[in-house]
Amino acid sequence: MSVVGSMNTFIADLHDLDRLVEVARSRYSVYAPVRRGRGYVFSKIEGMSDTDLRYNRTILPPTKIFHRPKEVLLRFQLADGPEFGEVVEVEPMMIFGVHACDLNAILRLDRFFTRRFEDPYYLARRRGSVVVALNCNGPRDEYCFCASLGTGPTVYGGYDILLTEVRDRMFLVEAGSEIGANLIDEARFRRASMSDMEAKKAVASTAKREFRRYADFRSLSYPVIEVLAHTVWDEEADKCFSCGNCSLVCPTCYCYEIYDTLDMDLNSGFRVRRLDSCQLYGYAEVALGGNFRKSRKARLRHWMVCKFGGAAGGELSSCVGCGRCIFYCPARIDITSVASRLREAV
Amino acid sequence: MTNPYIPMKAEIVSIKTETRDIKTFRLKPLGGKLKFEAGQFVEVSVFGVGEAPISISSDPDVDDYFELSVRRVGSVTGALFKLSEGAIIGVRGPYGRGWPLKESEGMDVLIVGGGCGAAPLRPAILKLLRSRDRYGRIELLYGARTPSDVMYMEEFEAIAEGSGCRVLLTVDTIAPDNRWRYSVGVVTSLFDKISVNPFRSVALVCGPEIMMMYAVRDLLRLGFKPENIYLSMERRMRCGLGFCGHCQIGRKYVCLDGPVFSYSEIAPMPDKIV
Amino acid sequence: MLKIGLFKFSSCSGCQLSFLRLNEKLLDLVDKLDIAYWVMVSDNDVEDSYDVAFVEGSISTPEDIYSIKDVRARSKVLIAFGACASFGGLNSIRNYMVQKDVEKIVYGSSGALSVKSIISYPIDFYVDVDIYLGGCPPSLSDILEVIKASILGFKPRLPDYPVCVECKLSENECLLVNGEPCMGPIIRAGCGALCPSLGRTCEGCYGPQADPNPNSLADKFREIGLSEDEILCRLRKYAGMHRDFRGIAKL
Repeated sequence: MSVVGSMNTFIADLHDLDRLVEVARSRYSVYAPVRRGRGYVFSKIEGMSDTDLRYNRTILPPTKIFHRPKEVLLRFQLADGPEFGEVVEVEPMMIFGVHACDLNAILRLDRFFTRRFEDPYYLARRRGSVVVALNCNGPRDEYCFCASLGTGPTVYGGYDILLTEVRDRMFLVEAGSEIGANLIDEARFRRASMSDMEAKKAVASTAKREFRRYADFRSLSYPVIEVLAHTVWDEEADKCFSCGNCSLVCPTCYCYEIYDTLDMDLNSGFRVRRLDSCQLYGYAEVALGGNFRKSRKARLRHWMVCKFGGAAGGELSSCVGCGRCIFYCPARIDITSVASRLREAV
Repeated sequence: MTNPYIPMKAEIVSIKTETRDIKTFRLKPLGGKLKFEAGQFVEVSVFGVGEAPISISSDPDVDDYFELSVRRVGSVTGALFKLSEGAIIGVRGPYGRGWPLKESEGMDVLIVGGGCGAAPLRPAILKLLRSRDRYGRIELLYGARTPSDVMYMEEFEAIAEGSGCRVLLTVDTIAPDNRWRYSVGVVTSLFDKISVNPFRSVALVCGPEIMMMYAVRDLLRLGFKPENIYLSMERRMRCGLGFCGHCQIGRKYVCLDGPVFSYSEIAPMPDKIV
Repeated sequence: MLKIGLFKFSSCSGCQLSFLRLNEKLLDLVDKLDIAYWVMVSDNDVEDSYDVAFVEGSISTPEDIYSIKDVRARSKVLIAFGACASFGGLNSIRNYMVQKDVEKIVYGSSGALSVKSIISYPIDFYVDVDIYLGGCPPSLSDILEVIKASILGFKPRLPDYPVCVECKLSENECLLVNGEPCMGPIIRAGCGALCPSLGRTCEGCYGPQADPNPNSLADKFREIGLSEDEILCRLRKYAGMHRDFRGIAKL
């Protein structure tokens, strides 16, 4: 077993990974976490020196690369028409250094965007993409809670290449697809030794134990009356800003608004979709000013209960435990502590 | 893969004024047909303004054209009202789950409409009457604010004349000099007069959500089963494809799981009036 | 042809300058737009009617009251153009002091005798406003949206959500989370998160978002160490007169 394993398992330092990026760049735009101010963002890189594989989390999740925060759906013109046609922007992409939580979010969106209908914009970008995942050796900081949701810290599938930091800046490299194997082959990595592979096992088994934040969302979703009627919503809504940060940074939040925008000639224009948030007052407005989630409480509850087991996750939780919503909430609202309050009631 | 966001062109072939703020647009799809079921909706594009979800209000068995009865309430409907015959708009769909007409065979059918809610009920009425012998009693209750807000007046009167469907009309208020021949009062005040058997009847209800709330309350009291009361819900169906999230009621998507729901499905969900 | 007028009350003319900054974009509209009244660029007389009036500035003298009612009567659509017209703006910070003291500070003891100023109110204290364009000054994209929508007879699409939306979509680190007193969560977007994108806190010139929670923001500011005075100053700076902030800004 381990001998066969070693055939497909390699070891690479940052210099070797730089070669992988170089090989990939001949075919793909390579996106990786890049430092910006105090945070990180997934942006295009030219080499390993642009990225930092010890990042905690990016502001927007890598799902933004497939489900863009803002994109044109179609172009139209009004004169002699209307005439219109689709605009699908695609480039072959490698997403480098994706944590287990974010990879699980991508896999959930894959399922979500192929339910009854297929979303051609998401799929066109996703289907041509290569994912280089990165195992976490433990929580990246005190906000991480993937371990309790089974969405990390170790990656178990859905990648083309998987990296594990087994020693200081030395990475075990595994292929998860033919494309991944070919790229590794071209990058000419050294084969991993038995001890490298043992080291990965050790990393995976200790990583899980270091998490201090815990969440259990089971049976907290719609339509449990004890959850919906709980007073925790009133308390949290007093603090909530309805700013939308939680959902805008959430890797499984996909809700969007669609609108038309006209050029200055008032003839041609675009139909655009832009990431929206159920936390915003206007989100649930209908014609004539009706609004089915007028109160902050209703909006906050809708978002969290949706995360507990809502739309994208179906019966599963659609939360992957990345910690973004907790970290970026100016009101310090914490989905894990709300869940534990609710748990006492169910 | 066809792109479900790209509309099909449709030409406005005629426009009928129903009330002071409702018009019926007859549309001819260009380059294809629109097959739909009673109770489904389409996303209508007026390019440059945007899209709006609108119920189809015509006979599902006619596929040369389809009709949309539109109330002027927002930007897109406002722009639609400015268009004239011959104008081309965009349409995509149909979307959603319609009225349970097949499942209701052998039962009595009570149709309850309020205001613009007659629009998605009309295809169901036409379809029920075409297969009249498959159903028990059929009754139509319809209410509007004033006599000039009543949609499909001539058609409802024609249905009342023949075809085995009782029609009861009501308005909330009338002007003192108005020659209104029917009831005055909210639509639920007609429930005293119904002759369908609540225990073996389905109710198809559409109207403002507050009206549906009162209708459901009274229907349950009359003995209708929650699973036999069907409501057509209105939310902001932006995409119609189950993606954009705006029409979620609890974990239900109005655009995929609805717009027609049984009361038993929708009752446990929050953030609604009904 | 859309006939518009630009009118100025108590203000710095910065909003009108923004209109000028539309530059060549205005040229695209030259055959659709008739700028019939704009003191800054032409000496046309006031006409009987305008399709759209852009009104800059707050109302702060007795004459202003007469004039704004006159503008309203001549205009089909009236736009509160910028923070001063919409919420009172910077001018309104004097409302928290005794009027006579303010006049003395500004005009000296002798000059103050001849000045007749009143509480500085947003224009909607006196007339109906159709569209509010917040901002100090309003963004070019918001101005263009209003012009395009007016020409076509649509309702303009202006954000009512908070600055945080534009800020997060620009992938900025959250200043407030990092302990800086940013007003983004309670302030309406439209600026493209201009200040936070440059590392500066939002000062609130767009006025309140659709459903703001200023009480929670005040708590947050206390938590990061602001004094009560500093908190009041921030809430009063542009939109302390707005009904959403008035209670907590203690007018």
